[in-house]
Amino acid sequence: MRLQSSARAAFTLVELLVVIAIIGVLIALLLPAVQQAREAARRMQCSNNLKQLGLALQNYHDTYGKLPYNAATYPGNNQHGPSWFVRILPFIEQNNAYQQIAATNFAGDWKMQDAACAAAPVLAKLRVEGFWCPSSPLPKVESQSTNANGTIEMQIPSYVGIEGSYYQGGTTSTVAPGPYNDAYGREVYNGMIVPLAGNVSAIGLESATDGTSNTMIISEQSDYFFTSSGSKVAIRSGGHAGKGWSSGYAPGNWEANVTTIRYPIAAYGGSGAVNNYDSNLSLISAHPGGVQIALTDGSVHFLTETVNFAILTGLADRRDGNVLGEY
Amino acid sequence: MMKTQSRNLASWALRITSVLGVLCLGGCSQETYGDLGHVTGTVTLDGKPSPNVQVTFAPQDGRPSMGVTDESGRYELIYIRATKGAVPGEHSVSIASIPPEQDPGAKVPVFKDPIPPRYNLRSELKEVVVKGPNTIDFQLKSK
Repeated sequence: MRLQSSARAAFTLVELLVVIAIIGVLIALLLPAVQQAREAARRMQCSNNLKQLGLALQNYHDTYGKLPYNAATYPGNNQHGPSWFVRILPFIEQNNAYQQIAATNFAGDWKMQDAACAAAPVLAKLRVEGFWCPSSPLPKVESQSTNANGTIEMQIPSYVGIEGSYYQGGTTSTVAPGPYNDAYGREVYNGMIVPLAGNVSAIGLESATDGTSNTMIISEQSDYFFTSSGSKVAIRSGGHAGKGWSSGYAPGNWEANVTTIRYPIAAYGGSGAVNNYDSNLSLISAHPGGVQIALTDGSVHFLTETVNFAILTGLADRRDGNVLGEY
Repeated sequence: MMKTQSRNLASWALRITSVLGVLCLGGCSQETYGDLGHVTGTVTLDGKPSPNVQVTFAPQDGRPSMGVTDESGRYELIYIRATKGAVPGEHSVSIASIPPEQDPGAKVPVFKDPIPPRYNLRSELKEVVVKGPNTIDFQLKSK
């Protein structure tokens, strides 16, 4: 009798709406979870990038007995050399690119503002996937109209070397004694990736007297900064002339691809934290809640943006002698 | 009978949807940073307001806050991004002028800060921030 009833042969409008509502709820519940999982995967990939960079630095040290330096004073006018990213290329399976670059004898102006850079044709093509954080919303490459190499596109890395800490490690307000240079903020050379200049020399792992597992060497600058009025600003240490491949102008002048920790994570504004070429740009990442850091021993950790500032300075300063707290 | 049943069902579905929606909104909302004290004030040097001066409040434990003074010497501390305030407790304060911007590659700029080093590089200023609104003025002297 019931089977023959034609009243049940179709769904009512209300029933359809109920089903649609239930499906909607399920999607609404599931979608954020799926997005979270995707971000978690990207964070893992980023953490792997940092791990590989940390290992590359270790292998560089095994080969040369020192860590890669950043800016250096070369003889003559040629003092605008390559960044530490270029120096570690052979250790992250970019040996072919490195051989081609080395064949040019690293000659010329790597910031490409004043003179030609012999390696420019290679750099225009070179893209290293492991230098980008997959979560970063910032442009991956930017074009630069160079002085003598035409307009070329170059890679901007999401990562930055730690040159030192403005404050004595483990403190939040005691200014570090140096050596330092007051250039576009203040460069302090008490970190792990330092320039070669009159008052600093290349350092090895033995210089990390706080211990390699208590000193950071690389971190992220991979998201927009926000001004106090809420507008977005895209600045990072690798964003000025020569992008990721230039060490900047010279030691003691503007330096690229390294930063001196002076402000907490994701802080914008203030002395040395406004322009790409400034010395004290903060660490920032697109991962919610903090940044990832690679310590000198090669391990990768996550620092929350509300971390005790004394811990951030203590990690950046390789020889403060203070005990790090829990982080 | 049939009609009321489906209407009941529909209203239940509506209720469940709204409850879940509210839950989801709660879960997706911005995190807060605990109880912060809101800090404003003015900076004067020898009685005159100091514009473009960076005021940094560094707590013993936690994240420092920073503010930059406007033309009238008034600052407001920022904790993170657009969140204003500072963690309650005692802070070491440093006050320094922001050097004028220089073109990159120029001769290394030498900037003489009119604010003496005892307020920044060798600062011994201490201030206490409490929950809620704080007004902390600084009357600096160049000598």
